[in-house]
Amino acid sequence: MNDSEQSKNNLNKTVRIITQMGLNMASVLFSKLIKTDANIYIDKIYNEDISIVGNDIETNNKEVIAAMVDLVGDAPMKFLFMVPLDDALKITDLILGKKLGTTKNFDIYVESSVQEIGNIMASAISNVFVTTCKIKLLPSPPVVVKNYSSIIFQEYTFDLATESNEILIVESHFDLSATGINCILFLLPCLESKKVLSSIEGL
Amino acid sequence: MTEIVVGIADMKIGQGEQLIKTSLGSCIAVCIYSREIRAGGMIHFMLPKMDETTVTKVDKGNIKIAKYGHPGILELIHQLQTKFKLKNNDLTAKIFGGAKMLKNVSSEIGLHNEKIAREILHNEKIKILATKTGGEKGYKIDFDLNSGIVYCQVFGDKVEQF
Amino acid sequence: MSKQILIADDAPIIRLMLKDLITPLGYQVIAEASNGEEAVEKYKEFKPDLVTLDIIMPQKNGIQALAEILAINPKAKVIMITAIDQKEYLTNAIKTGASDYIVKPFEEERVRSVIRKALGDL
Repeated sequence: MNDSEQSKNNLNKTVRIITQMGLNMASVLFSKLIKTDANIYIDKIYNEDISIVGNDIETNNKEVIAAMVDLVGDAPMKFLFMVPLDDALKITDLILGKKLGTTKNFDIYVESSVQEIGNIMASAISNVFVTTCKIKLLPSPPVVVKNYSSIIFQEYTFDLATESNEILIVESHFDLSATGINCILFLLPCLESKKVLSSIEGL
Repeated sequence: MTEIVVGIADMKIGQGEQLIKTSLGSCIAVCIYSREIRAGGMIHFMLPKMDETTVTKVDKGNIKIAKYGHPGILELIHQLQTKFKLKNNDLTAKIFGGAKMLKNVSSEIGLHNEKIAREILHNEKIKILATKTGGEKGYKIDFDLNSGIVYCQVFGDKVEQF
Repeated sequence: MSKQILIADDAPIIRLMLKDLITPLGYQVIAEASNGEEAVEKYKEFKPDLVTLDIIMPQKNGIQALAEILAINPKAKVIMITAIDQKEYLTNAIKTGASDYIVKPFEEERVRSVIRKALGDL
């Protein structure tokens, strides 16, 4: 194994371990917010060509609402939470403690539910990175967008894809089995983070 | 009909019973077509030009031509010419995308991307038959190589044919 | 007359949740703000007994708004609301002059007790 492969492996391992810890915390907080058990599991962590990375999303293109959060600090990252529009209505009911099906239309409460989930989960992940890796990392205010999932994903990866032809990405799915809600979450370390994260030892 | 997905910074060509699909935010898709032989191709590019500043940032030795309008569109034309023995005057073009979706992310890139596409097609004397660009919402594009029709849906709107 | 509270948070759903928790305690939510700048303006206008201030807000964040509110009234009672559970960060907020903080998502009982304590009712 050469130095570059070794460094890539270290990076993947670090990101996987810390992200898993962050997601465990995010899952506890998310469950608390929606008063329902949420299981989050990492599906994939991969280095992928930018032209291929969004192909699965392109094939299963849906209308979604999403919260994008920039994590700013020593190891900048981008966080994305996406949920299909119908499921966002259900999540709003859960947060407000209402019976499922009460919220029927997209309104400021639905939008801000997604905004708040983005805020809480991105904060949970940054909290874990700060505690575990002794780095500084803070979330910015979430940007909420409603569009096709493939387009949101493209805009999310855009800045990184202009700088590199391959990106490292963590893809996680949530399963709220009792409600049939499906959400998806991505974490994308920016280029300058790779060095910082791959040099973290003791994990 | 076979479906071909064009990703970001990607280009594909084909012929006959094929549908080339992509989605666009601030990126631009240029669809180039020969009605005569029912062949065509699509490029989905992100940035107007490959220049020193952009190239120094990308992975060394792994330049993705389809990331840039220039020379990406020229490469697409070249591939169509080579594979299907076509000349520029056999070809027509349609341009889509370039939305200013996330105000804090995309800035004016969409506009610059559209401008470069028009310039290149003009210089290559390839007629632009249709354009649907701008706005603040994303586009879904299906390019039917059998008919040359492009089905375009802006988020929240009905599907339009071009 | 019941004590008056200003809620500042950019997420309407959080303002609604806080209002639902605060009102049954017998307090009045006198005004709401959706960013730090608005929070400072509403503070000047309503002079509430207590402010709940989200930290991550657009335009002017909660820490900046806290400093400005304290410049207007050094005795202002301000509770910071945040999802950022980082020691250094929260210590800074308290050093700047916040009365207390609440970490999101809410522990409802903690919200009630922190508010009542800050208003001297506990």
